[in-house]
Amino acid sequence: MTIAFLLPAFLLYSLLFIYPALRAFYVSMNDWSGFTPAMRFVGLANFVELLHDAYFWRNVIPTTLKIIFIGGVMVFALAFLLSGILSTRLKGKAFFRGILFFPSLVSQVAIAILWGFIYNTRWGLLNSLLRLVGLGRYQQTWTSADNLFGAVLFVLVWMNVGFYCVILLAALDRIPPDFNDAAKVEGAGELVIFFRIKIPLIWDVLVNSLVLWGISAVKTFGLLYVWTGAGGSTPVQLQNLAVYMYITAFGRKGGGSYRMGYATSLGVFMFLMIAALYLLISLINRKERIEY
Amino acid sequence: MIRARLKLQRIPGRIFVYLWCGFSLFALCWILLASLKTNQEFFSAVWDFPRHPQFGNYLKVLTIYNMGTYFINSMIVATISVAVTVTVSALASYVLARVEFRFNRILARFFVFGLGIPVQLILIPLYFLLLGLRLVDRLSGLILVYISLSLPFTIFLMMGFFRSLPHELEEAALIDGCTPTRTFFLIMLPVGQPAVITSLIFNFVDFWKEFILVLTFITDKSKATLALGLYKIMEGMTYTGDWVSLFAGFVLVIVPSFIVYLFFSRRIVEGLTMGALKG
Repeated sequence: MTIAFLLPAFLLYSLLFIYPALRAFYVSMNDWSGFTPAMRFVGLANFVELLHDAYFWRNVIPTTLKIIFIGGVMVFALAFLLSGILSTRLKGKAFFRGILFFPSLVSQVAIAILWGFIYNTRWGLLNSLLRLVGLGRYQQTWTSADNLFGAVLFVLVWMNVGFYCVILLAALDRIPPDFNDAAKVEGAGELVIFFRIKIPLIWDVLVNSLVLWGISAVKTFGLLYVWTGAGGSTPVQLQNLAVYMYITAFGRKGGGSYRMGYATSLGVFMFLMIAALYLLISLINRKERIEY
Repeated sequence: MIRARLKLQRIPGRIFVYLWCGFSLFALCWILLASLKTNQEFFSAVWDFPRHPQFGNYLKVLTIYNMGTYFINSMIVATISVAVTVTVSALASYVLARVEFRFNRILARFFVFGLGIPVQLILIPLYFLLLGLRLVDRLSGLILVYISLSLPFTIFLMMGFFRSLPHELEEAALIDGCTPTRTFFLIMLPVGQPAVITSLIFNFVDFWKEFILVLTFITDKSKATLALGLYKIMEGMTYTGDWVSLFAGFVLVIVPSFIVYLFFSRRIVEGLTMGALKG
């Protein structure tokens, strides 16, 4: 029974997940267009090239890191703020939680369409709203070269914040109310209670959420790839590792090189980056657990 | 007095929640209204309600822009993938969580390890593997990819649930002369129903919106799912300028997620948080 129950999952997973993952390390050591079966073994040449790829270091890596760290700070600051507010007795809590969370369930193509129109210069929602409330002078070309990254980063934050908010909220709701009441009796304010009592109590969950964010932030793809600029390709400001890897492999209007070996070495780099983030967070997390 | 001070402290925060949620809701309603306008109306009067609701936009996007086909493809792919993923995962995670055997712990780790592998690592080798098997540009190929890539999370989720059940369940069944296989189907699976339902819904929502894999493995327009189809329509807009139809397409993609969410929000939230809370 043991074998019969395990076999289907084991076969599917080994053949279509683990095997390609292992093979990736081999492919990354080859020069290969993908059009012919023949690969040319080049050893670590792809990784050496990666070290000297000016575009990669000057553009792709900064974009990726900004998404992980600036985006991460924004997502967690907002998720904390929102979950802190929602964990107090607020009327319609489930409703607000629902609205916050909904974007995580929606196709990123749809999100790109929605925000493409919110940001539209001439008849977009944002500029129209600004005009309506008399703040017309703050109107912007939100998707101009200078503003684009910030604008799209905000969309990323907007669509992710609900997910982390819900996780933190679930953790906050598990804290016994006595803790809260005791602190209130002692005269602690809402903010003090939140930072000195609640956060230490949900530390475990917070660390797990940070790992989740790290993994998903490195992999951010759909929204960025779909955000088409002039010429039909993804604007350079939005090319993070995932997008650069995809364009290097499969090409895109106005760019792309069909270099399977090099693209796979980018995939290997992403894998290493996730491993590094995981280690970093586990190292920080050597703090003691608080049981309650 | 303390209570009054606490209430006062809460006000700015609450206003922030109202603004944040209000804007999201407003934007969704705005696009819903726009999908019922004519293109001319949309560009000339941003704030006006549609004069005559243009339900034709929806008909057009379903037929001329092929959304109908994409919808059916999405249905087929998501339904089959979910059914197989959950069945295969339930079997495996039950054994991994409840049966003692030699490689138990190693195998459990082996499956969960996949959670840390980014799809970009395996994308190219997987593409050429499927190309060799003549499964590129086929719904069956996409389904196989969806199943195998969702196994780590689903097994992780179900293992956690099966581990939390009391051992008395199997012991009682054993005393009553129930074989292990019968025990699984007659006792453990019904008891494990919450985990099964959570996995079903969670995976369905995930397959419904999946993008990078369908973008890679499907190039034939007639095989596209909704996410890819919507992207194709969006790309085409540069030439057609038919934005209201794009909005209608947007609404058609959103509505099923919305309905599923309305009915199962607790389960979805459970599935998403379970991993983070249990760790």
